Amino acid sequence: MSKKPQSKGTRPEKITDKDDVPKHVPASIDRSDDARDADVAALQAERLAALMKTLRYGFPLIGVAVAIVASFTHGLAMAVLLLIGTALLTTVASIWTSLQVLAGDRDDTLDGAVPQGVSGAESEQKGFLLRALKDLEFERSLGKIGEEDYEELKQRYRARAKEVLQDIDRRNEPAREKAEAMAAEWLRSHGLPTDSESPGNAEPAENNEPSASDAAPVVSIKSFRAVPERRICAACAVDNEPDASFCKKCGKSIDDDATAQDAARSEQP
Amino acid sequence: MLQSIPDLGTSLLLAVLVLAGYTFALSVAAATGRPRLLSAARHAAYGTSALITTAVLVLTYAFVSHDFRVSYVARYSDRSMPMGYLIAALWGGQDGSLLWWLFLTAAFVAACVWWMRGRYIPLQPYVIATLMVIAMFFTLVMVFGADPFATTAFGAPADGSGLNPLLQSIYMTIHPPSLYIGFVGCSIPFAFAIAALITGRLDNEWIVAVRKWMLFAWLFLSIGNALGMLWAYVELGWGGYWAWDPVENAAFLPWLSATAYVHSTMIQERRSMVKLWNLFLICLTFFLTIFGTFLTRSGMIASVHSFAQSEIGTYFLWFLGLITATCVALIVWRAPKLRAEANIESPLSREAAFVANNWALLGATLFVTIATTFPIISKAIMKETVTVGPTFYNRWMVPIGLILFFLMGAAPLFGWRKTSEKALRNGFTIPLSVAAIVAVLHLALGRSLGFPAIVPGDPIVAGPVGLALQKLGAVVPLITSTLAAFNLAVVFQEFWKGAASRAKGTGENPLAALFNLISKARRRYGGYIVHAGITLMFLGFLGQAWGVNGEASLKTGENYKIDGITLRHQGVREEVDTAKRMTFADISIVDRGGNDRGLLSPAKFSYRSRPDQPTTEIAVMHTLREDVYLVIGSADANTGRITLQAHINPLVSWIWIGVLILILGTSISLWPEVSLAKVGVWGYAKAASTTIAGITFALLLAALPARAYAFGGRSTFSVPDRPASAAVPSTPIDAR
Repeated sequence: MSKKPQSKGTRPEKITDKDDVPKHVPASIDRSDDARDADVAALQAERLAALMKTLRYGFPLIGVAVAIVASFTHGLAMAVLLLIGTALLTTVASIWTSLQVLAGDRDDTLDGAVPQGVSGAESEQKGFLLRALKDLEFERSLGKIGEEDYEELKQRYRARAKEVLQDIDRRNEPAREKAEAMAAEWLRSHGLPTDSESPGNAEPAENNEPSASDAAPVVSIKSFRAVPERRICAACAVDNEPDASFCKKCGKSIDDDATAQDAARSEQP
Repeated sequence: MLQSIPDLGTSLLLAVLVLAGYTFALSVAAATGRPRLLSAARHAAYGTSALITTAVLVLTYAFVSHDFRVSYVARYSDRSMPMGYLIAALWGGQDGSLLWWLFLTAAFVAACVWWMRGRYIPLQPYVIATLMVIAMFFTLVMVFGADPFATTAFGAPADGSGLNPLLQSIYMTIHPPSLYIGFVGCSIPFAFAIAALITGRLDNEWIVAVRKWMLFAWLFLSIGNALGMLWAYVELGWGGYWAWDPVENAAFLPWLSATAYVHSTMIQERRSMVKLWNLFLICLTFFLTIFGTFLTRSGMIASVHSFAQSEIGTYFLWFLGLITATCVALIVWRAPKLRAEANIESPLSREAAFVANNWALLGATLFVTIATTFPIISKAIMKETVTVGPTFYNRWMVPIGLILFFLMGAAPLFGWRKTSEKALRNGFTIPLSVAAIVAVLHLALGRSLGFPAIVPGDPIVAGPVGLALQKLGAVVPLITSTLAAFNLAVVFQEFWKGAASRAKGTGENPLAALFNLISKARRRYGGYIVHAGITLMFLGFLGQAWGVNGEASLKTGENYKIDGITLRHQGVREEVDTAKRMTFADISIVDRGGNDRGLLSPAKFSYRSRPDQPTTEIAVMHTLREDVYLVIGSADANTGRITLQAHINPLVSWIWIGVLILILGTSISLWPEVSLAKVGVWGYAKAASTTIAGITFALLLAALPARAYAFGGRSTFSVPDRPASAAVPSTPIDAR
């Protein structure tokens, strides 16, 4: 079952209603009907795919539920027959899907065989390494591991964790770019400026006439992306990770430093 | 009733063969790196699983609709059987149990394929292909050797033969499925190991992938073995729970190698060592699941549980050859990549303790394997069939068991790489002190309490080895109680130190610190809880050393005193219901203090459908100190005379309590460490299933004493009649 664009005449009622567009957006940045229809078609296709996916998992469950009810009303034999029917239909559907994928009539990523973004395995490896690091700290606190061994094992785990995190970043990059493109598209469709169109990035205006974009609230894509600050240890000035609570070199609490720095800042006139 | 159930069933099996072949071909083709083929293979795998489910449901339908044209249905059911036993009859015989095995494989395939979505892409094709080979093998065996849909030769009988009365037990509904889940669960780690070997991705990736699958399989192997013991204890009527029967051994062998793997995998995770060993253990565990099946289904070894002798042993032999050849070839091929990145630097390190534990477990595996197959070996070499008895097993397994018992306690006290003198002192001082105190107390007070520290025994073999084993056997109670104290002290100390360290670091109150300690390191502390459970089981096994057995012929009103407990014969009574005639002997129990502890009523049942096979009903009174276990050999309602066999089995209840604690600990280890969104439904389903299994087991245990006291304080379990002194019934039982 391939995803094909729907005909133009199937515009839904609640999608990208013009009423949603801010009044201050000029007609020039409104999108054309064709583009809007394409969006609608894509959305419908996505909904259809989601419905099919739900049915694929839901149908066997419905079959089992009906069989349970039938076992009370019509006896166990009837319930088993219903289950046989459900299992057979599931078999046929699965084989049909397999053949469709094989023939190229169906998007092969629908099943999730090809990972989108971070794979579960990398996530598992990351989780495992972080847990191992925690465990190491714990064993050290119980005095079960010497300092030298602790340092060596820690360095090994950290190196492996770094590799995995870099892999995750690399794998995430296309997804991130795609997400940014989608966000930019959404902002444009709602008449909001994107990063490239924000006042800071825009070319200087040739005249001082106020434009519509001046009146619009500036919502930057980058503003959605939290860029946490690195944490500098007050004691030894080592640059620590943004989520660090303790300095990786001297072990002093950075939270305390940060609290003290915040307090100092707030006391400044 | 559908008109073509047998044909439909056989056709479905053929279709499964074709579809599994298609899935296998797609998976192998997908290994060239084409995601479209992989996606098609995944869908086909779902289809294969659904089709296998259809076949199982068709056989279920044949049972519930009493379709006696199907030979298997006619042999293992009749019209009078309740619905629960009709369903359980699915795995009551050889053909059906193979189909049940295939069905569980299908369930694991579907779950694994679903779990692998979006991950382990390079491994997926080979994992699916390996699982399909396993599915194809079982389908082939059924199609050509043991078709559960084969028709009755002389037309459908009016009624079936019915399930063996011994199998009409609650344990029949839960023990084989538990054990089979354990067996089949080992397929997934095996498939990942093969995939890792073929792709050369031999780092921690596959280890992390299979960790919880293996633990899941190990848990169900444990539960299956424990339920088997419980079933044997309450059904077979010989007073014990483990007789080293070949089928019991077949289930025990993969448990041993899986236990070794569960420990050695940590060495690879921590030190990048024993990579080859881990692969070997995974392959061995899977091999042993098939090997055990081969042993019990080939008819080569006589067993209480043996299936009828059939031709399918040959298929299993070929499959075992295929597994061995594949594993050896792949491991040899990849040997250069399996070199350890580190070495054991000190014998006083955790990895050294784990390696020692692995060797002991492998030694036990080897010993049990050789002893189990000794009838075949002796026949081949000496032209004479020699069977090894339980006494032989017990004598040789005791030293291995005690080494493992010590290592279980000591290993957590060592650090990785090496352990400093200070750490050793800190770790060992308290547990060793506790062990020493318990040893002294046992020596001093054991005899007066009825649990002497030294129990002399007879030599089982001549010569110095026999003498050494005899002397060791005499001090086993003392060593076991000392090591049990050591183990429990280690577990307590680990929890105490961990909670104290956490409370100090976080400022939490001790209870919160303890709870958070476990929840933050579930695998470690779940493992410690498992150790505590196994310690209690060891104590339960130790009870055998102080067991007392007796036999008496009593008339109404006469007493029989055994181990200080008085059994008073109150009389014989007969009852009749629609299915059977029952003869009870009412025995009142008076404990050592002279207190009346209730009534036990062992019995003889004579079923109308099988009047030539009267069954013996045992009666048990459970306490934490001991079980009073009664069996009657004969009972005459006219004269009131009975022949009574009495067994006083100390500490048996601790085995079942230990199993419950083991389940609890494994459930904690299995419980997902992250949110539902991250771990997915399957992670929670696995954890939930273990919890349900634990609760089921707990309810069964809870039901035991309740049944014992029902109807005026007795528990009754049906057993086919046989001499009570024999360890096995005279007729084979088609189970497992």
